[in-house]
Amino acid sequence: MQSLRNIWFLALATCTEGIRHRALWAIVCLAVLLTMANLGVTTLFTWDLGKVSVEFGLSAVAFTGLLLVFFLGMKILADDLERSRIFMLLSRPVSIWQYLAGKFLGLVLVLGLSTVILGLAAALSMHYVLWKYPAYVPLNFSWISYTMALVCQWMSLVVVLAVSVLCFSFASSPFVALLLSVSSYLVGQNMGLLRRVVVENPYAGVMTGQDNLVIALSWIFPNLSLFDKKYEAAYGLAFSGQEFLLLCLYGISYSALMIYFATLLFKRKELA
Amino acid sequence: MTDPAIEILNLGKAFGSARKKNQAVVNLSLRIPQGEVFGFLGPNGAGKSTTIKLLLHFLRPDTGSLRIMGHAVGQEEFRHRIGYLSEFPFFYDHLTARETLLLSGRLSGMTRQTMNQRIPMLFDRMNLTEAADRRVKGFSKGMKQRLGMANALIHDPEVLIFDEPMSGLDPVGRHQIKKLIAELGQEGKTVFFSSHILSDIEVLCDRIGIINKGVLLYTGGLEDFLTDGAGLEECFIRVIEEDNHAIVA
Amino acid sequence: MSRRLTFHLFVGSILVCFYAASYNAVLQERGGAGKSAHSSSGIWNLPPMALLAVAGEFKGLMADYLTLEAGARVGTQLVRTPEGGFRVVDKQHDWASLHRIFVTSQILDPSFAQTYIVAQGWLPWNPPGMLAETQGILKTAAKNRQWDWQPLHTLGFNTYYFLNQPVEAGKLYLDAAKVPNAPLFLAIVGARLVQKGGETGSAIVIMQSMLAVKDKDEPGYSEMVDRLHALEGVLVIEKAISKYTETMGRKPSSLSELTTSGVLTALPPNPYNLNYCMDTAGLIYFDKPNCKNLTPEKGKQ
Repeated sequence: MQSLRNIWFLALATCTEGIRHRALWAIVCLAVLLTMANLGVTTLFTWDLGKVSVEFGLSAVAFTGLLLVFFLGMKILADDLERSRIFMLLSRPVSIWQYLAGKFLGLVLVLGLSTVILGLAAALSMHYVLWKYPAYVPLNFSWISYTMALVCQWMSLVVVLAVSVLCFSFASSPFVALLLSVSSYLVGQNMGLLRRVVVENPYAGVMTGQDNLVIALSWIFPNLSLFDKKYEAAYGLAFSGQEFLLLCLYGISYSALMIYFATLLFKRKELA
Repeated sequence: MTDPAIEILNLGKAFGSARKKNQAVVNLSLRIPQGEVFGFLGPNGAGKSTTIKLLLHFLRPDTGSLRIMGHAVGQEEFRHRIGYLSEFPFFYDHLTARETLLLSGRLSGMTRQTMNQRIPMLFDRMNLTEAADRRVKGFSKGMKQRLGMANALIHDPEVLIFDEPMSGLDPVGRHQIKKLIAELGQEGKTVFFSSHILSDIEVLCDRIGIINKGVLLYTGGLEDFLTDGAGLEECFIRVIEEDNHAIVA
Repeated sequence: MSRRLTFHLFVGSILVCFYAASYNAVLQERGGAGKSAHSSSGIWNLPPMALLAVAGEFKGLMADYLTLEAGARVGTQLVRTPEGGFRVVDKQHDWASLHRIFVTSQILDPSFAQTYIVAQGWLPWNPPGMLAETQGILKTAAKNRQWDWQPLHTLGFNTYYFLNQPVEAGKLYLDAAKVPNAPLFLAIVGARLVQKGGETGSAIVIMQSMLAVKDKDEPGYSEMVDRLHALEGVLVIEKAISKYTETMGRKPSSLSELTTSGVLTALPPNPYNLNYCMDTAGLIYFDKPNCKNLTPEKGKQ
């Protein structure tokens, strides 16, 4: 019970710190800018305006989220260690896993908030576009599948964040951690592609015949392309609730595993 | 008989790889009974901070054992009974002083009620009442140090561990902290603090320990250390220099 | 004081002049160098896999950008003159690279409407005359836009207009007609094209299959039924003609010969209340009673 309390309070403090970090204002400004950009960009096109608008909105959420993870998230984690702030917390009855889980959840909350703000801003501009050009509303477009795609986007960011926390727990410096997590993101984003190329294409160069290696890699790295539902949302394609639930389960279980490994590695780390 | 507040036995700790091993603490044993104000002296890089970090289990000892209030460090939970102030107290820049104390109190398992009583009291005691709802980012070094003190005292711990509590403070700030440590001693708390500022130690401590290059050179009462009517500074420098010569020879 | 000011003014103006001259020279150099509208290098020259890997989760956006780029390349023939006005130039487009941009955009987002519409607007026509390439782009779009009848419709149009293959075109129109919410004229045009090619039987089957999936209440349903009946009448007549040709050793000169010779007891009813008509080539029409006087309408849509 106390451990849950601890995690919650740490998460809350991290979230407050993250939000007051001027990050939130940056996000709000970005949301306004991107909304205007959405209206501008969309009218450059003549067909499929709805698709362009939805795609642009969701991409904006993804891009901002990545910036938040790689810069704000990493900075908050790194500052804890570099500026010995972690001692203030760990000199209290707080275990390493509570500390990491609290930090992680706090940043997840920040990501959630930014996703909500940007998602709403994008939805507003989309709504305007769809209302102004009703002929280009994607067939079967629904706000429910847009929301589901938005949640998937958030899940994907959560997974990237969990990987960053793991990288952070063993990397010798924040810069190395940043590099590692950015490359994990890139690998994760292309996991599906790589798997398809190697397993289906007999002329895949060095990777030919390395099916097992690729399959092993695809179990180690997060398969972020699964969470990318922009295409589905933009064209109003079928996106079943079952798939959505399974994706959420995958995201949560993968993140939990990452935080668990991070705890194990962090325990071995000397906090000098 | 009650347990000693702090008990260190044959502590050893080295940093670095096997080839370039740097022995930070060598076979250090120390026993501090409850209710004592203990000053831990040594030049920069002597191993004071390392010892304190070992005591709080931020670092794992290579050899030896540490006990606080009878609890083995690293195996049993003891941290709700100690208050710690690090050498450079950093807080979350964007939380206010009050929020910082609330977080610390909650993490130490305090109830809202007790915190509501203690936080204003501590702000008053540390002269921070006016700054209570300002963000820590704008605090001066002295204010941060006093907030760190309040932070260490929030859950009313029995043992207080301060790492260089007076470094970098102006005379007024130093005086405030000194007064506070003296008061804590009178209240019957165990205070273990490190310093390289000798004049502070002289006024405050019941007993002192002197460490150089990881080796504890002396522990005992202040009066016994000050032989031949010489001042603390003179004696301290003599001991350290003798030790350095011995190592070279 | 004033000497110092003079000195700074002097140095400052020299630096500004130097900057302006060099920057202007660079701009002049660039303006003179390229005769073609744009350089043809870009991300679309990457192999598709590499491009997908680079784009990651932003591939939809990149497809949007590529299509805009293609549109901007072909879209304007105006060039800004140094005097501040515009002049019209006859741009030498690099059509091959333009085609690659469209294909690349489709690799990134195979469903984007703008891609195939802009491609259709330029590639099949002269000067590039890239019909096969356009058909490829349209096929990809049709496969990935199952809700959209327009790619199939455009494919059908190209097949009819450029390739002059009415039967193939008709089949494509009929495929387009199967798309939900497709306008009914597609089925009618398709059936007509298929029938024109002498495949009345298959036209009837396709019409029947269309009617089977359409709702009775849909507007135009009864018109489709009429057309089906008319096609059935045409089929009866066609069969009678071949029977007549078999027995008589020649084609009938008019449809009335079918009844007078006894091959048919009567001509089948025409739901349009018109007389069936046979043109000089032997094709049967149910909607053109004076078809013999019509000039062949080949090449016309």
